[in-house]
Amino acid sequence: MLKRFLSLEDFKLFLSSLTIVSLFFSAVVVGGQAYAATQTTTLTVTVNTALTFAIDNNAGNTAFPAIDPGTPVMATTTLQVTTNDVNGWTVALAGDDQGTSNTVMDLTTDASVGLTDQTEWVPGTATTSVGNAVQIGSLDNSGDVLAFRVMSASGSVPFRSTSWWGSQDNYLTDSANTLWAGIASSTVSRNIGNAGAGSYSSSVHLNTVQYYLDVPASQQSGSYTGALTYTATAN
Amino acid sequence: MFRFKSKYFFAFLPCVVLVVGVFFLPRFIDAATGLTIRPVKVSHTIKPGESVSGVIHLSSASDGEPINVEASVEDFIPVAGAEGIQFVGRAPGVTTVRDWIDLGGKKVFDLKQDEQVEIPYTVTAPENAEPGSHFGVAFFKATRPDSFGEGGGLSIGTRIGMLILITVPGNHLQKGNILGFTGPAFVQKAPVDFQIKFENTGTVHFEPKGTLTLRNMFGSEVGRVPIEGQTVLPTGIKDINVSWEVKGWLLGRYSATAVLYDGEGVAVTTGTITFWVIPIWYLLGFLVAVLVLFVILRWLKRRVRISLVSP
Repeated sequence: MLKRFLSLEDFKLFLSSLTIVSLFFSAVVVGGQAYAATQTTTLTVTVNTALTFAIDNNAGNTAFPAIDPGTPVMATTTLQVTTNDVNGWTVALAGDDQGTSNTVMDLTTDASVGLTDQTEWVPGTATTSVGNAVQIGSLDNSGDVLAFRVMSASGSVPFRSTSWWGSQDNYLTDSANTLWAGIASSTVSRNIGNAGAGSYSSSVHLNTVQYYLDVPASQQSGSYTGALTYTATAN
Repeated sequence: MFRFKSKYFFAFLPCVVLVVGVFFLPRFIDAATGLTIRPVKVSHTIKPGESVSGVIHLSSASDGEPINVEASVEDFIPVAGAEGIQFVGRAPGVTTVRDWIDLGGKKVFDLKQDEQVEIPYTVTAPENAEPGSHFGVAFFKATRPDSFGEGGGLSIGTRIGMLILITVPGNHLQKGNILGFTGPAFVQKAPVDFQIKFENTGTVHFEPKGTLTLRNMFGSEVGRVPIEGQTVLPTGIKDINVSWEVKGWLLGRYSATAVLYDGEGVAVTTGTITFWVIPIWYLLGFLVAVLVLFVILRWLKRRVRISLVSP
C-alpha cells in the first residue's frame, strides 16, 4: 500500500528507517531486560505493622460556644490516622456515657438532665453504601439535638464518604448534601471512617468531625459536659 | 542619604508583618492527643488449656503534658457481608476472648511525650473453649484532664487497639467463595492491579492463599503472583488486592487466573479475566522515530551527493 504513495526509492528509505528504528528500540528493550536479568540478588526483611491515631484539638477537649435556644452552634475535632498495614484502618465513635436512657451531654450539676441526642448513627455496609444520616431539616426533636458528621468535601480522600455524610460541608445550613447523625452508644461503637486495602496510603490521613448542637427554649440553663471516644484499629 | 521610595515601603510592609506574625507572635497550637501501637494485629492458634504470650509496643503520639492511658480488653465480631468489625464489649457465649486475655503491667498509667512502653499479654484458652474463631481487642485509651471551666463541652478520648484473632483447633471449616474478580480491561504497562472479592463462608478466620497466573495470547505462562497476607473473618467479605509487577515489554492480550486455597490446601474457587496491554506511547514514539528518520534520510538523499574525486 505504501508503494502506491511512495516511489520505489522512497519505499526503500522507509524500510531502512523502519529497520534502523526497530533495531534501536529492540536493543533498548532487550538491553533493559538483560540488565535486569543480571540483578538476581535478593534481600528479604519483614516490616512490622504499626498504627498511629491522634486527635488535634485543644488537648483533648472540645468546647461549644455559649448557646441561645433556637440558634445552633458548631464545634470540631480533627482526627489523624497513619498505618503501614496495607489492609488499612477503621475509625469508630461512641459516647462514653450514652445509651437509650442517657444522653451524651449532661448538666454538670445534675446528670439526669441532658441534651437530646439525634438518632444513633448506623453506617452502610461499606463507605459507598448509604447510612442513616439526615439533613438538618430532618433532625429529631425539631433540630434541638446533638449530632455529628465527618467532613466529606475536605480531608484525606480515604477518610471521606459522600454516601455517608453527603457531598458538601455546609456549616449549619439545611442541605440535602450535608448529612448528620447521632453519636452511638458505648455498647455498640459505630464506624465513621474506613480506608480499606484499595484506598490505603502510607501518608497521614486527616479529616475533621463536625458537631451540631441546638436546644429548645425549655432547656435548663447551665454547663453541660460529655465524653466521646474515637477508636482506631487496623482492618 | 538613603531615600526609601514609598511604593517599595508599602510593598515591603506586608512581608514584615508576615514574618513577625509567623515567628514572633504567640501561636495558638492545639495539643495533639494520640497513641502508636505495634503490632496492629496478632493471630494465635491455641488448644484448650494452653496459653500463648506476646508483647504490645505502645508509645505516645501526643505533645505537651503527659497523657493518661487506660488499658482494657473487649470482644469484637465480624460484620456479616462486609469487611468491617464491630466492638461489642462482650460477645455471646459462656466464655469469650476478653476473659482469656491477661494484659500485664498497670491498667492505668501515664505516658510522657514520645515515651514508649512494652506491655506483655497472655492468652489462655479454657478447657471448654469451643473450636473455631474467637476475636478480641486490646485497647489503650488516652485522655487528658477536663478543662472546660464553666462553659462545658465534650471531652475527647483517643483509643487505639490491637486485634487478637484466636483459633481453637477442632471441627471447623475454612471455606470461601470468590464473589468477584476484577482488573483493568486495558493498560499501557505494568504493574497491573487486580482485585478479588473473597467471602469467608467457613466457621473460622483464615488467610486465603493462592496464586494469580498470567498467560499471554498464545497460552504461555508469563507470570505468577502469590496471593497472601490478608485475613478474612467468618461471614466477612474482603477485597484482596494483587498486583502483577513485571520488568520488560508487554504487548497483546493476556489472561489472569486466580486460584485460592483453604487452610487444608484444597482449591476453594477459581476465576479468570482477560485484559489488553498496549504501550501506546511506546508505539507512538516508534512511529514518530520512523517518520523522522525517513524524512531525514529522504532529505539527505536529495540534497547531499557524495562523489570521489581522483587526485
